[in-house]
Amino acid sequence: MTDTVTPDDAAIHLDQVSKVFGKAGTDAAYRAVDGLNLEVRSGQMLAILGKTGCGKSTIFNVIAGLTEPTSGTVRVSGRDPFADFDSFRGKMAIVFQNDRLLPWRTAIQNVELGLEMLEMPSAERRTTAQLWLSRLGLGGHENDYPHALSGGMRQRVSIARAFATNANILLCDEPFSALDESTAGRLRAEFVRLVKENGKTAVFITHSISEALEIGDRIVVLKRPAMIAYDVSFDGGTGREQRELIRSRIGDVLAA
Amino acid sequence: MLATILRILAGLAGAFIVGGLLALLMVRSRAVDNFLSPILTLFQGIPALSWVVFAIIWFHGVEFRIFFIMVMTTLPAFTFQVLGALRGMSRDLMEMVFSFRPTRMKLFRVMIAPAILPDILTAWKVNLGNASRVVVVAELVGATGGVGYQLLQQQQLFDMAGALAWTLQLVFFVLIVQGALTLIEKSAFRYRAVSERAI
Repeated sequence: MTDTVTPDDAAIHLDQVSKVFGKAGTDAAYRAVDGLNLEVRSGQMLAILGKTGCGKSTIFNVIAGLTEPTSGTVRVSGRDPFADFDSFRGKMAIVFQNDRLLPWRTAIQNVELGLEMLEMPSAERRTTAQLWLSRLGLGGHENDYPHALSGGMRQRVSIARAFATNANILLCDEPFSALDESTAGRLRAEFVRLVKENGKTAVFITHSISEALEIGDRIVVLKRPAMIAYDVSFDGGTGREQRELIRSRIGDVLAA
Repeated sequence: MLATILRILAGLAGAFIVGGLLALLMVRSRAVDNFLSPILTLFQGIPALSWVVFAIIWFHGVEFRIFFIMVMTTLPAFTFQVLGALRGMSRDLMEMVFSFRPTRMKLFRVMIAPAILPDILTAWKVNLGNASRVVVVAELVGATGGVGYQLLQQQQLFDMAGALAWTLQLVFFVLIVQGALTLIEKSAFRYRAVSERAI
């Protein structure tokens, strides 16, 4: 069930990537990622699964260009996301674990944030933000400040903010982990629908096997320090029995 | 009175601009921080009267002397307050804004300015009180107008009512500006949630 992605058709390509925090070679050095190779095909929904502290968020930050790898090569759409940071404006969007809404901006102003960076004219910006808020069921809350919204609503605003820029690559770091199961389930379904409808490449970090199975069409299980312990791809045709086998295998890998 | 007000506002504006720039340099470079922090701490310990003496020795123009005294006495507080505000910005929010790849100007407009505004307003409130006290001392040294000069005249005339009247004018000015800053705070921070239970 493992498929191979060549560097040519990869949206994201990590080659021998390592990240060491602290001064290398000293006792204080902490190797969060160690020689990771990973390819993500364009249009793929990859779920990265692993226990807390296995380096998932570090990989996330490396792909996002927010952290520079200590060694190795990272390419997103053929470019280095850290060195060519500005060239990814409007091409990559991130949904974080917590909503990270600017408290001094209303819901619609928060959704407009990425569009402002793209120099979109104000009227068009407002229409686009309004559209995405409505799509995510937040019509009527445009002028509410974040403190007046529930956790689920705030996270929906942050999803709207990411989708509004129409970026091809979406990075999501456990975006539903702080929500109750019912809200998380609903948002997950909405998220998968939006990604599929809009043909995005998505990397979704999670520590929940069920969430990974629900969201991804490929799952990569990481072991500390961020090495691939299991890599499996599946599609709509993968039967329930087979999915249960995958779930069981992932459980074994995580427990090992 | 107008001369005193202009001296206070000019001194505060000068200290705020210089202090803001120094704070930006300090937050960007550890070496600059290590170099400037002890100097500014030292400046904080220098009495306003010493700056008056230094200004008289170093400079000639009365207005420049007063401006220099005002800037030097309020500069350390402004710098440290802006520095604290810059360092206290949420790293999470900063990363979120960075993820949209803003230009420096946009980063400042959408993130840095609104994030540090509460601390800047507080810094202005605190420094306004300090500046109104220092300006009187500064005006004692050669100014031919202003509250400090007038207080000196009242002292020579032994006129308590006059001294009180000039003092109250300065106090009213401080209260009016404090009130204006409070109104700005109320308008700028209406996004803040208000708890029904007080601290």
